[in-house]
Amino acid sequence: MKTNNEIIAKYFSGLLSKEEVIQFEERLKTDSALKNDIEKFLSLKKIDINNIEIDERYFANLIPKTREKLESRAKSKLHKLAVGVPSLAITIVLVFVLTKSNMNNEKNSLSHEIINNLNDTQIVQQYFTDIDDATKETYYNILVNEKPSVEFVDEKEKEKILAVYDSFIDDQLDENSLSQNELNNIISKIDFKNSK
Amino acid sequence: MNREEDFNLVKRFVEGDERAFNEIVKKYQKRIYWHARQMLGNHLDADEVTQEVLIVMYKKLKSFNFQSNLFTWIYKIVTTRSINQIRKNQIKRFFSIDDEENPIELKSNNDIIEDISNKEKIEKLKKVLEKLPAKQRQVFVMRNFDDLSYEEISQITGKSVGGLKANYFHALKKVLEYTNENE
Repeated sequence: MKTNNEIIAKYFSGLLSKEEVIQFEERLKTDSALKNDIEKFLSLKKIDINNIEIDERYFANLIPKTREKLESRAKSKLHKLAVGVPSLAITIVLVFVLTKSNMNNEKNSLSHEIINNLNDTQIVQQYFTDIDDATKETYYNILVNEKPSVEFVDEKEKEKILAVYDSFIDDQLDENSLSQNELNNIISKIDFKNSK
Repeated sequence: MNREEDFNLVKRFVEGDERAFNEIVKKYQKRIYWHARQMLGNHLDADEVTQEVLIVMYKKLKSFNFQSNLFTWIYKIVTTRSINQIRKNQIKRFFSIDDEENPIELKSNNDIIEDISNKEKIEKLKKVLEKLPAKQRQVFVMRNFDDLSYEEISQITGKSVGGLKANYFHALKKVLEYTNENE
């Protein structure tokens, strides 16, 4: 029985070779079981859709029903647009406002994090890398003693160094947007002895 | 002739003649319904799919470019929608979601077939087709009841002829097993 199913299925699917088709059709002439199985299958196909008695009112109403559905969908689409567009606009504005506020908060918190977490060595390395040792030594004396060292023999040299120092402080204020107090706070924490 | 007639109907519809759409529907509605009916096995699902197909046709007919026959194009929509409906039903059954609007009793009682002998035949066929996965059912229905060639089915489904033959073979084997067991 199983063998018949396989060969019948192959025959009707077109999966048999020409020789196999000839053999199958020869066998069909004498094998009544095979013939019976095929007839059972073919009986399934004997439904003639065109001759089935159906309630014709269904097809008569199909177009009006479809048009009604189309209209109601068009209305619902308009309704969705009327509600959806303003909602979307409000959402976009809210997202924009919240994002901007978050960005400012993040910027502030990052600045504070830098101020609070940079250690003295990092600050010295960052701010004094471009200055040669002699100048560094002078800065150290200025900052520690809050006045130029007595080792300054040349008044012009002293003024020159102080001018560089002021300009450096101004640059830092501009570039990092630090307040004078915040900068003074950083400077007061610098351990110049370790950086030397 | 048929192709030319379809071309004129579509042309009239594109130009704004709404009656042309009605004529297209009248021409093909029974074939659309019966294909959906054989794929889905009951009137309510077939009705839902038929109406959806007509809505899609109404919306997309303007972009139809006659690269295939109009009915091949319509068939593609029916068969895709029917498979989607089968999957939807399978998901509902899997999660045991009751179809409150259309319970099973209503699905089987609500029918447009009036003669009992054909109703019985269609019920029997429905039981056989329920054993087949959606893709195999699709090929089986197209080959057996719509008398389409593999080439035509290939155009509609976009599958290779070889793949379709294999699908039809497996479908047929299952149908034969079922008919042998239940006769």
